[in-house]
Order: sequence, then C-alpha cells, then structure tokens
Amino acid sequence: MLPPYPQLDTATRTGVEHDVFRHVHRQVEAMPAFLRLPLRVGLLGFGLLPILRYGRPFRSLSGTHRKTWIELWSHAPVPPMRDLVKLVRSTSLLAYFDHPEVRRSLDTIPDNTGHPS
Amino acid sequence: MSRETSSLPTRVDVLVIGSGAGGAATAATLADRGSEVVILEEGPDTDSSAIATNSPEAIATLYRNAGLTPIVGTPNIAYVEGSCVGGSTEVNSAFWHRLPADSYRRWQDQARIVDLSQETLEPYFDQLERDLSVSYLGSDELPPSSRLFKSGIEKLRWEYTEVPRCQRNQPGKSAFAAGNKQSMQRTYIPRAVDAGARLFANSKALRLEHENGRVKAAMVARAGDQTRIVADTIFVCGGAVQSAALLRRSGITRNIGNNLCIHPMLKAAAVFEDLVNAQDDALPIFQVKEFWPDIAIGGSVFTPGFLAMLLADNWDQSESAMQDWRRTALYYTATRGTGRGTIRPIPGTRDSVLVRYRLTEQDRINLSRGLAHMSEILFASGATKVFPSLRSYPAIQNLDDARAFERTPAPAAAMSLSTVHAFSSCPMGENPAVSATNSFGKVVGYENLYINDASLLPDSPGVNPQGTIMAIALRNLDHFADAKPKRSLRNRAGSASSKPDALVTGAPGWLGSSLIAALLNGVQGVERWNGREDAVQIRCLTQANVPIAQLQELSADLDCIEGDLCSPDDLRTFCKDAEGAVLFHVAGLIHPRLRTIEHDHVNIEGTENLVRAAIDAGVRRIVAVSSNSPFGFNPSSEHRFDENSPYNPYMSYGRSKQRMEVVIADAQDSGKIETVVIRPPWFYGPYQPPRQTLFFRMIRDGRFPVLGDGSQMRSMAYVDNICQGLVLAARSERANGEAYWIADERPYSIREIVDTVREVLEQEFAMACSERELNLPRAIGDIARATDAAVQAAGYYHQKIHVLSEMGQTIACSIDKARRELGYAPQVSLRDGMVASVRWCREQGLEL
Ligand SMILES: Cc1cc2nc3c(=O)[nH]c(=O)nc-3n(C[C@H](O)[C@H](O)[C@H](O)COP(=O)(O)OP(=O)(O)OC[C@H]3O[C@@H](n4cnc5c(N)ncnc54)[C@H](O)[C@@H]3O)c2cc1C
Repeated sequence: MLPPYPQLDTATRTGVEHDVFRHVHRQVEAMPAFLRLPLRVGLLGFGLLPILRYGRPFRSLSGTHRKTWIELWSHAPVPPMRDLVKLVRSTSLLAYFDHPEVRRSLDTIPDNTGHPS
Repeated sequence: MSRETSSLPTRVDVLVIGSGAGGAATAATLADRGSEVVILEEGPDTDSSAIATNSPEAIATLYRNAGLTPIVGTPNIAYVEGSCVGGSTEVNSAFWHRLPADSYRRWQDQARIVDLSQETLEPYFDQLERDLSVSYLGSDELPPSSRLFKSGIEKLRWEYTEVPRCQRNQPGKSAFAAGNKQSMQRTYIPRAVDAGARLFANSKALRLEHENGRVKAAMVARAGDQTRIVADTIFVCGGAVQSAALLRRSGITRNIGNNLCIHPMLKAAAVFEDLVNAQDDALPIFQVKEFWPDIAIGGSVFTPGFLAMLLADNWDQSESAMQDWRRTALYYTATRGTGRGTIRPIPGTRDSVLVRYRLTEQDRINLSRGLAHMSEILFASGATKVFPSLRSYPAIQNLDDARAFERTPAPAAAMSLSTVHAFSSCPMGENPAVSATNSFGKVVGYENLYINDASLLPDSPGVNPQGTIMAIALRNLDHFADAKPKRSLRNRAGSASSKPDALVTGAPGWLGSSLIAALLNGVQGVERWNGREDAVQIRCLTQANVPIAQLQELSADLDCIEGDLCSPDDLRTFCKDAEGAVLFHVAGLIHPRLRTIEHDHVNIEGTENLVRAAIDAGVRRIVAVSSNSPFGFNPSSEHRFDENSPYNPYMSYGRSKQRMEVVIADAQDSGKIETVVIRPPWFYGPYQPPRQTLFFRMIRDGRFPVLGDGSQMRSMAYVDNICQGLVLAARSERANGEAYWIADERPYSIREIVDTVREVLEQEFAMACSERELNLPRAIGDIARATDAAVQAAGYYHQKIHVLSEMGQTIACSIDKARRELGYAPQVSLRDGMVASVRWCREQGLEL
C-alpha cells in the first residue's frame, strides 16, 4: 500500500516500512476491544483469501496482483471490506508520509518532484 | 511539577476523574480553596511540548485508542480525543470562543438551566482568558494557508472572524512553537499541583460504588492493580464519552449517555498555484461565519501524512495530488449536528464503549452545502482543485462542480467524517426528561457526585467548545462552594423546623398549594385538619429552583425543604423527626417533557424512596394521590368506576400510577405505616398550570376540540373538593388501608363542561367567546389513541396527542364510598369552581 516515492535507499526504506508496519499493528491493538477481533479476522481474510484466486497469500503476490486485490477490496459491495482497506491504507499512509525519514526526504526535494518517477 | 509515583491513596476528600479542560479547572479551583484533591488521569504523563502533537508518535501516545475511536452509524465517524495528562487540550488547536448569545436562551428555555446568563458567565470567560493567555495572532505571522483563505472569503464578501487562541505570544517566537500553547499541562494542572492536589497518571477509574444516593468510592486500575478510593465528593471529568461510560458502567443511568451531540466534520484538500508550505505547523486561524450556526468553515492542521490520509478515500485516482503537497492545505466544514447519539459500555468487557450517532438528513445537507461553500472560497482563493473526503468522488475542478453539492447532497455513506467536538452526553438543567444533573452539574439522585466537563453542555454550542466547558466548570464550582456548608438541602423559608404535623410533597404545585392552604386555614366541608387549635406545623418538599413565593404568601412559618423524590437522601432529610406525622404525597408527573420513562422515575421510584424514608422516620400515615388513569376508560357513558373496578391502565402514566398504588399497598401490608389512596380525576381550580389556562383560551377562541356530540362523560374535581377528601382521609380511622375516588358531586358531559366555561367567561367576566366550535369526528380520538400508543411504545410522550386521545372517552367515577366512609361532601359545583379558577387566572395576570 505504500508508494515507491520519495526515493529512499534500500536500508532506509526497509526501516521505514518496518516502522509503518509497527504503527499499523499498534493502531489495531489500540482499537476498542469489540472491534479488535473482527478487525483481526478481516486482516486474516485479506491476507489469506488471495489463495483462492491466485493460489498464494497476499504477501507472496506480485505487485500487480496485490494492487488488483487491494482495489477489489476497496470497491467491494460489503462495507466492512471497504472500511478495512480504508483503515489500513490511511493509517499506513499517515505513518509513512509523516515518518521522519520520509519527511526529510520530501523536504529536501524541490516542489513538484516528490511524485512517482 | 510534582507528579505522583507513589501508590494511590485509599481515602480522599475530593476525587477528580480526568485531567482535561474540565478536570484540570475543577482540581485547581478546589485545591486553591483548600480541599484535599486527588486527580486521576487514565493517560500517560507525557510532556506535550516535547513532541509534535500531530506526529504518528504523538497520536499513539497522547490520543485515546491511538486516535481511532469509531462512532458507529451511517457513516461511521472517526472521533478523536486526547487521553493524557491535560486531556484533549494537549492535542487540540486551542481556538477560543465564548458561548454564543443564542445558546444561553436555548439552554434556559429547553434545558431549563437556572442562573445561567451571559451576564453571569462572562466573568468566568474573562478569568479564563487571562489564565490561558487567550490572544490573537500578530498579523505578520499570518500563515499562507490563512492568508489565501482570507482573500477568498473577502472576495466573496462573506462574514468571517479571526479566532483567538490559548497561546503565549513571545517576542521572536512563533505562537505555534512547541510549548507556547497554553494547554492544561501549562496552566491549571501545575496550579492544582502547587496548591497541593495530587495527580496520578496511568490511573483509570473503572467503576463508582454507590448506595442510597451517595457515591462511596471509585475502583481504580493502575499498573495492573486495582485500588478502592473512598471519597467524600467525586467529580467526573472524563470527557463526553468516557464520563457517560463510567457512570453507566457503575449503574448510574438516568439520562446518562442518551443525548450525545457532535460537530460532524468533512475535510477537503485544496491545491493552489503557489507554494503554501502548510506543513510548517502554523494553524489556519479564520472561520467563516456567513452560514453559522448551521455550518462552520475553517482551516485544518496539515502534515503530508494528514493529506495522504484524506486522499486515501480515493487513493487510486487521487494519489497524484501528493506531488503537490507543498502547494496544498487542508480545510474543513463542520455542522452543528442535529442528531443525538448514545454511549453504552459493552457488557462483558472491562471498559469498551459503543458510541453511536446517526447522521440526520439535515446534517447531510448541511455538510454538502458546507462543502460547496468551502470549495467556492477555495476557488476564490486561487485553488485549482479541491479533493473532498468523499469516497468514490473525483476532485472538484470548478465552481459548477462545487455548487452541484448544494443541489444534490452527497450520500451519507460516501462521507468520510471525523469529529473532535463531542458533548451533551450528561446534560445539565432542570428538565426531568433529559437532564442528567441539576443546573450546576450535580448528578440527579446523588448528593456527592458531580460532572464537570463537556458532557454537561445541553447541546452543541456551535463553536469550539473548550471555553464554554471551562467557564461552566468554574461557575459550577462557585455554586458548589456556596452550597457546600448547607449540604444538598436548604431550608428556604422557615427557621429550623420543629416537629412537623404534616409533610406535603408536590408543593408549590397545583394541588400541593391548595392543600397547604387547606391544612392551614381549613377548607369548605372540614374545619381545621387535625381538630387542634394550635398552629399546624407543615413541612413541604419543594423542587430545586422552583420559586416558592406562592407558599411563603400562605405562611411565613412553612418549613420548605428543597429536594428530589429521586434522591433518597433528600427524602430522609424531608422526613426527619416526623414521627407520628401524616404525609400527603401529592407530587407526581403527568406530562413528561419527552420520555415516558420519567413517569417511572418520579411516580414509581420516587414513591418507593418516599415510603422507605417515611417508614424509617416513623411517619404515621401516607395519603397518596393517584389518578383515574390506572383504570382506563369506562365501557359506556353510563358506567362509573368504583373502588372495586379492576386495573386497566391507560398508557405509561396509567401504568406508573397503578404501580405507585401497588407500592402503597405493599407498605400497608408491611404493617409499618398506615396508608390511604385518593383517586381524583381531572382537576381544576386556583394555582392551575399553564395547560389548564390554555384550556380556557381554547374554549374562548372556539378551538377546543369536541369529539362526536360531546355526550361522553367526565368526572372532574375542584381542588378544594379534593383537599376536603385528602384531609378527611388523613383523619379517618376507617380509611386506613383503603382507596377512594374523590371528585365533584357528579360527572359532566364534555358538552356541559365546555358550555359552562363559555358561560362563565361571558357572563361573569364579560369576555367575548367565539361563536365557532371545533367539532371533530370521534375517529380523530381513535387516531390520536393509535398515534399515542405508537409514540409511547417508542418511549416518547407527546402531551397534546395524549390529551386528544382521551377526549372522546368517558372517564367517570362514583364517589359513594367516600361519602359513606369519610363523610365526604363536595361543596363546590362546576360553575362555582370555574368562576374561582378564571378569577384566579385574572388575578395572576394570565391571559385568557
Ligand atoms: C484534535 C482536537 C482539536 C480540538 N480543537 C479545539 C479547539 O481548537 N478549540 C476548542 O475549543 N476545542 C477543541 N477541541 C475540543 C476540546 O479540546 C474538548 O472539547 C475539551 O478538551 C473537552 O474537555 P473535557 O474536560 O470534557 O475532556 P478532555 O479534555 O478530553 O479530558 C478528559 C480526560 O479524562 C481522562 N479520562 C477519561 N475517563 C477516565 C477515567 N475513567 N479515569 C481516569 N481518567 C479518565 C481522559 O484520558 C482525558 O485525559 C479539540 C479536540 C481535539 C481532540
């Protein structure tokens, strides 16, 4: 769900992605108890259901299949599926773009060049 | 600043739960006044000036649920609140407003808050503005996002205002710099601690223990342990959601968590031609007033992460906007929500809460209109595109696109809404249908439990609320200080009471006032009530803040005790030293403001409390006033109810009065007290309430609805006739354990009643009456009855529908048993009674 820009070296990007994952995990854990369980079940479904379609779980999908799968969920007719993607996407984007490394990188690039290459 | 790391105390004078806007002001004020204060704060003690309050790090530590508290509904709304020492004031924008003038009027009229006016509240705002350094931004510091926004509003010639903030303006330092915001951590919390208050962070009050209208202790979780803290007084200041949740979890539910109001907010990102650099932490400071109070428009905090979050709604189409992040700023439109939400703890969990709010159609329209106007301003400011937080909506490219939202509001399900303003979950006031506390934050039915935070505001003030929350908190604390030495009850009229002969509830009401007059001076048909020559000592229970001048006119020696039927403690004081006295229980609720549950609170639970207090005090006899409603309607116009008629209660009021009779019968069966039940039908006579004056006015104007031919019969009871019955019931040995119908000599047809009133108005008072008459088919009564049943089934009450639903029916009784056993002989006829009533109205200057 994270964009490939701004440009970060591999080690920094891995570190950032790790922090983003931790943030999203912490957010899910901080949800009120009655939402936590359905959310965990939803995340499990999101991760495993691609097996039925592509024969492998989400984390092993190619970039294109991942994108298709996310889009499928974000436009699903069932509101909780859409809400799940929205939640994960918005919390990861927040953590990503406000991550100090990403901010540093965004700040140093002149206007209009922070876009995908 | 000294923060407590020691273990929690087990006994304190004053426990303040929550350290936000309300809690910090409460703790500092009470500690300043010398109380021993302990503050409990669930969140951590993190210095908010040391971290950027909008960073993911801060969101994870300073915000409740890491910033994700969903309000469930269509759509779900993200509710954001602080949870740390200082509460939401550590994460908020610190914009400051005074309470707008229209709110005072609404709060006085609808919530019936007493002693609240602009005049009385303004001094508290003055004080707070000094303490929190509320000030305007220097013009050289105007952030570009604000400058652009202002230019757009000015081009459209719309009304706007610069909003001041709680901020220290230091030379050479931005007002937005970390540590300059005058949050509670920098103002009232240190003041409280300096005055001796002890602050415990990471300490959550889980439950309150209470008994007989007194809160005894709080169970508090801290570092995996639980501690029971006994407190003389508890102030709950956990914010609009958590205060209601804590009280409900503790079994304190009356009008708690049923009335949540919010300001739903829809954001948008505007892309400009030029650099805006909104990320530099400056806050946009203008708010558009043109569409206020329904719609507010202003600027929002910006970070690249916040922008990405907003674009996440339609990330696949909007992602490209991230490239323009330096030329983008965020704005919001918010509406004064017209819906009401609920707060319910989730059973089986320790502290989970379900918050619900249904966006109303009006909210949806207002938000869409707000979006249209906000976009108009942004285009006028030079924006090239506006990205609204609407799922599956493209960017707004021009004015036509923008204005389309006025014509076709966006569907609720598409709106990504959030809110940072929640209030009214425990509204204050004197309206029994909705008020959870009295006019000063004291929880109804509890003598030592107070709320002092956002929950108290009766409805949305329509502006950022921190100022109002704090001003109300300070006001309530002054009242608390005034009231404290006198405890919760005031002996308002007389000197300390000697032993009373008679206790009367329901004064200075309609029947209550007449009864006191009858007890003091006798009434036609009976002489002095106790047959003694010496003065009768009467003590009456009066409702808080109801004027008692009317009673004082009757006798300066009356002992008036202010209290509430729902407060066992108040009733214990009311019945104190009343051994051997007779208690006339006249108070009751016929027409609740909104919810039928009020019938149960007042008529059933109130009577139970009263009976218990009376038995404990050794009161000899209760004479309780019931009604015709437990018996419904007569099967025909010739039929009369008597004391053997079976119960067949009509609607919620009838059921509550039936159960009240059962409470009285149980008391009789216990053998601990004597009881008599008196059942008067429709009263009339002096001291009448406005609804009876309206009855005269409707007849005069030809607007009183006569259903069918008006031959249906009604027993009526002139107040002095009822008083005669009450006094006889108090005196008669034989009456013990009995019930009696007490009414005028005979029932009247509706036609006769209307004709008599008209004749009295014209002949006795020379008042012209309309020739017209509002004759309606009886079926209207049936429709009203069906509607009344449906409304009441949903728990609501509508007085006019209810009254109309009974109009086509016969409700008539026989007074034979009262004649036989009590010697009851009604002295006042319909005509004479109506003459006395109309005369009283005219003497009071009431318009007929
Ligand atoms: C992001 C944001 C921006 C805002 N901007 C503005 C603004 O610019 N101007 C304005 O006027 N208002 C603003 N507000 C709203 C304003 O801050 C709140 O309305 C106000 O602070 C509410 O005061 P309170 O005392 O009711 O609750 P809070 O200030 O929220 O304090 C409640 C405290 O009680 C604690 N607590 C709750 N339950 C328990 C418990 N059981 N045990 C122990 N502790 C407990 C909580 O952790 C919390 O710290 C904003 C709010 C937010 C979240």
